[in-house]
Formats: sequence, C-alpha cells, structure tokens
Amino acid sequence: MKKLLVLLTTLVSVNILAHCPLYFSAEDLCADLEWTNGPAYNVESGFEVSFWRNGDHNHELVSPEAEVSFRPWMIMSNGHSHGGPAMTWQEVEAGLFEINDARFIGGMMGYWQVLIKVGDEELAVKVEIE
Amino acid sequence: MSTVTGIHKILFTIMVLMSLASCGDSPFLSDDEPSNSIRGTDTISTQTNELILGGLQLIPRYSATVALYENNSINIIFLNSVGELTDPEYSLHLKLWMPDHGHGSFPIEITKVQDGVYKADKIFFTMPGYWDLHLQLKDGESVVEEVLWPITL
Repeated sequence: MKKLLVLLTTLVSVNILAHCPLYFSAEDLCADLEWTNGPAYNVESGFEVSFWRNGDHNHELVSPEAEVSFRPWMIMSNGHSHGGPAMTWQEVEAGLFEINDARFIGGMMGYWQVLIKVGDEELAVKVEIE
Repeated sequence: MSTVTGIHKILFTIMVLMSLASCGDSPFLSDDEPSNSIRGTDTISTQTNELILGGLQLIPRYSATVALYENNSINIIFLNSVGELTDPEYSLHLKLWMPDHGHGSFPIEITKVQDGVYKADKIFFTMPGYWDLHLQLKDGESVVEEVLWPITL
C-alpha cells in the first residue's frame, strides 16, 4: 500500500512537472500563451508565447526550427468560422514570441481563438473575455 | 583609324543584337494605367452616385488594394460647392457593418490630415462578402447624418 502511494505521488508529480499546455509533435516542443494586456474586445490586446522542449521541467526556452505564426480565429455559434484582424509578432528572445496588436471584435455570436502555427501544425487557444 | 571604325561597328552591332534579344517592354514605353496603389481606388464599391454628407461632397479613396484581415486605410476628402477642401460641421466617424451577418468590425481610427482631408485607419474586413461602410457625422454620441458606402470583397 505504501509503495503504491509513493508510486502514485511520483506519477502525479511527474505529470505536474511535465506541464505541456500546447504540444507540437513535429519538433517535440511545448508552448504556453500568457496574456500581457487583456484580452478585451475592440481594443488591442497583447500576449507572449514561449516554447520549450517537451519534458524539460525548467521550461528552458527553445526556438522552433519551423516558421511560427499567429492569427485570430472566430468560432461562430452557427457552426461557421472565420478569421480576424491580422496580428504581428516578434521573437524577442529565442523561443519567446511577443504580440501586442491582437484585436478581437466584440458583438459577434461566437468566441475567439488564437491559432498558433509551427510548420504545418496549428493549435488553438480559446480567448476568454469577460 | 580603320581599326577604330571597325570596333565602333562591332560595338553597335552587339548593342542592336542585345536590345533585340532583351525581354520585357521598356518602362518608358508602357501604356499601362497607373497602379491602384498610386491612383487610389474605389472599384470595390458599387457606389456610383455622389456622396453628400453635412452638405459637403465626400470622396472616399483607398490608398492601396483592400485586403482581407489586413489593416486597411482610406482617405476621405470633403469639398464644398466650389470645390474647396472644407471640414464638416460635426465630427467624422466611420463604422463597418456586415448587414447579412449582423456584426461590425474593429473600431476605425480617424485622424485629420488637413482641413477637409481625413485618414481612416484600422479598417479590418474579417470575411469576404458585402459590407457597408457607415460614414457618420456625430454631435457627441448622437449621429446627426450618415451615408453608406457599399463594399464587396
């Protein structure tokens, strides 16, 4: 029983340490998005996206080899979806991307996502706006 | 002397052959219309009548080709009855609206360039289709007058 408890605790700890909110399998990289301004409707919002090697508990920044891009995407309640105002980004240090001109239009029937693309892989982060 | 003349003839022949062999038209002989980015364009709008707002003639012109999702800008000129650049009495506001889908777009930023000339920036089209650009004169928050400029992407 004690051994089982130790094993379970170890597994849970490893799982927590192996935090990987967005996984890009082609380069075995993890990424996370952190808001620096907003998000809010109809004003410019900002965020940072960091990349690190999958399994690296220290989250040491790693610059993806493939091209990285970001775009807004609206998922509408009628099942349709479409894009939004283009955003610009800068890799301020290797593996850390900064975006200061994310624009989410309010008054639409649906919710916004930020799509993060590395090479051919694209993952979505839902934008929670209160 | 005859050697010099011979070299001139050879050089002349080479130049003629090179000009015949080169591809493309000379930029100095082009009959092409100036590009839209130079000329300004309103060809994406079906508007054909004169736009009047606040008793002034209103002329909207894109300074470059309009692109989906990109930051588009537009220049707006107000002329009085004798063709002079004139400011409207009330403040100018612009709003994009997609009537078929019942939604707008990001707030448009307006800056005055000079009397009677304004630049509208951050005009974002989020999908292809029919849009109305609402050109409004506002007194505070109240819309005093507006005209629509239809745009199809």
